[in-house]
Amino acid sequence: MAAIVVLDDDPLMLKMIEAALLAEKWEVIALSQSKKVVEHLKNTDISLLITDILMPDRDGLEVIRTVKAMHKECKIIAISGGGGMAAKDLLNIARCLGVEETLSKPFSVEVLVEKVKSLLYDKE
Amino acid sequence: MDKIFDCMTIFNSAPFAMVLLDNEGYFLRANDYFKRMTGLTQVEVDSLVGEGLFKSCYDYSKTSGCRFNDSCYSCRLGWIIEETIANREGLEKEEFLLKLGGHNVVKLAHVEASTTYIPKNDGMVLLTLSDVSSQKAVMRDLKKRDSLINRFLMTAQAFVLVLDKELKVQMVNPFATKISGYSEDELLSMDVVSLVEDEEQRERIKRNFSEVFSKREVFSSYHTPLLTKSGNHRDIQWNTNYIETEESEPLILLMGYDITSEMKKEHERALFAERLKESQKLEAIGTLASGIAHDFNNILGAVMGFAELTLREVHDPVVKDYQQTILKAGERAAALVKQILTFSRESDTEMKPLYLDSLIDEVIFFMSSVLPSNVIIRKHAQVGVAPILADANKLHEIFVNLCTNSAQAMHNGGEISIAIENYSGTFDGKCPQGDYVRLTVSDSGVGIDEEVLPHIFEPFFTTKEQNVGTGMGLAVVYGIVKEMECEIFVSSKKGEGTTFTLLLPQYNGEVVEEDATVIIQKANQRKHIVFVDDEEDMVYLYKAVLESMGYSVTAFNDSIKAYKYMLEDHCDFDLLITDQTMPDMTGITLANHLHENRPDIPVLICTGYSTVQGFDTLQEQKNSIEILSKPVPVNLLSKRVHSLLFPRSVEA
Repeated sequence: MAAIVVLDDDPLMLKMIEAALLAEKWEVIALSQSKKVVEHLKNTDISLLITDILMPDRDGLEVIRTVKAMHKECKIIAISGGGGMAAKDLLNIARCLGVEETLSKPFSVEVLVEKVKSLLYDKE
Repeated sequence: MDKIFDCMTIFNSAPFAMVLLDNEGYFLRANDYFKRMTGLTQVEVDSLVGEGLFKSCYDYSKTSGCRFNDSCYSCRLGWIIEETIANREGLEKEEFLLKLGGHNVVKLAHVEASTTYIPKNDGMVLLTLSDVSSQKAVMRDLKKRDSLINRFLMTAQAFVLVLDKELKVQMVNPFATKISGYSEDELLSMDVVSLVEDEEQRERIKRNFSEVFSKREVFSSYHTPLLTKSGNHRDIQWNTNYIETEESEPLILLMGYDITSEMKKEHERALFAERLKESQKLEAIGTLASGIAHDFNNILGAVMGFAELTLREVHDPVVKDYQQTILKAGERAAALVKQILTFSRESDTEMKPLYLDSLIDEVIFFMSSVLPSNVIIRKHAQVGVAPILADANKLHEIFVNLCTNSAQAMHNGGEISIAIENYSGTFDGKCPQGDYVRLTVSDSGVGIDEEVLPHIFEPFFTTKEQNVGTGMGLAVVYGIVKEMECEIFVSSKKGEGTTFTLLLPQYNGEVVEEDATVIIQKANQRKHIVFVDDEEDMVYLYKAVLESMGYSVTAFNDSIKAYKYMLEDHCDFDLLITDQTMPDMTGITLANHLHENRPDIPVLICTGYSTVQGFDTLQEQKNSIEILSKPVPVNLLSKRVHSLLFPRSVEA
């Protein structure tokens, strides 16, 4: 199974999600900048992207658009900050862009793992 | 000779006309002034001798006057002369118009005539005529001006009062009687300063008046409220003028303009500005709070996530307990963040037309089981209250918060009154003119301090003891009210209670009402619910609420005990409602265990985490699992419970 890429500009959140996925013995690539995701996509195959959609350097929605264009089969879980002005709207837009799952912060590790499992098992 | 000459000289040099007539009224002689006055020449005057110059017309009568003309002056003059001869006594100052200028030139002049009877020979009459035309003209002008001034006073849209030195009213105009409600006589006899409401101001005005008289000068205008006879208040702008003339005593002229409506408008503008400022302040707090909430959710996510991960790794029960406590604290923080977001209007609302009446019944039904027994809630609903457009769940949250607040203000019990009625107006200029439904929630509690009142809607503002409230209740209410685009006002009196007033715009369309009573009635078919939460308070609250809805409830504050109950009782119940984060076992784990034996029993999981969108997948796998995010509004809980227990009735 290919790696799961996690993208979040908040280092604490990033580390937490990474830890949660590693505990399930999955291969994880944790990134804090969206441009690195695109670089990674050029060289490696990924099965799942978990991304925050409100980030300062590049709009999370644009990452979703790019990833979906490059790898149609790559599944995506979009996470909203929960507090931003249009967090809920952003999640809806993300869905329109073809995102499979959405989560609002803060979320439970248990729920995250459930979601990842359902997406990965569906694929295989 | 000298004597005669002297008499003639005096006769001719008199500054008025004199005419001597014989005892039958025939002309004898006239002086020089007569010529000047009439414009006749000496020859013409001489020719008048023996003429009946001032004879009445032949059928003149004393009672009906001249038959040709009532104001036939030659008749009147003739009559004066006849009277003088008949009574042998002169007449004084008869006034009339006289044709002057002989027979050709006609000039009318106001003439004042007096007669003297001279009992010499057979008797003679001396007629004196003086021209008073110019005096007449002056009088006429004066009269004209007088009536103009009078008309001005009668019609002026201003209070006019003239006061003398003793501050007695000398004159008032109709406007003054109209505004004050007192009659002219009443005003003329009363102490006019008593019209001023404020005693302090009364004294000051009196001092000012006497100052005006002593300094003999005008003083500037001022504004004072006036108390009318019927006890109403009018705002009057006064101008005071000092008047001193040669003919009269010094006087004060008071001119007052009624500026009541202007003052009211000004007052309303000020109030509106104040409210605007307040709402802008709250909005700023909201924006700030939602910004913080964003970062806060990131931090919370990490804290709770790692706590969860650690929990899996450790087996030491003490550490496990510590981790659980971290998770619990995190959940409470997450719930608080959610409330902040509600306050800053960033949660979803679903506006639907509805009638408040039935919603209040529902609220009273639920709240009465939650509130202390010595607190009663009563509804006062006007018949025919219009529908409104609102989010029923949010309204519920408003009611729960307001009622909880009221109950906490009534330590020794009391009554909460919820009233609704139709209202049209601006609520003293505090909102735009319109048709509203006015909703009031009043209590008989301790009341709110005046200085505290402006702050009660601010987030984290609380007067309650620590641990009793978060200070978010009324802030959440305010957030919802703004979100639904209605208005909320509070009034309170220390020791007498507090009233919250909501103005909700009336809805003009049709209403398809969801029947809330159905839920309550159908619940009477005894369904058995198992409720699990490790917090004692929650167990107590929701057990009471669910039981009040007619369900039988078995509640646990320990997940292991609940698990054991399931095993022993062969899962013979209809619904499991469980908290997600609990020591020993999470809600989801508990649900999994239940579904191993009874996959048909629906589960409701309450969690402090954000509403989990896309839980559909989990729901498909695990039969009938629903997630509710904390804090769970009672109304929402009742709906979800009902839909899980009676799925078919919802479909229908």
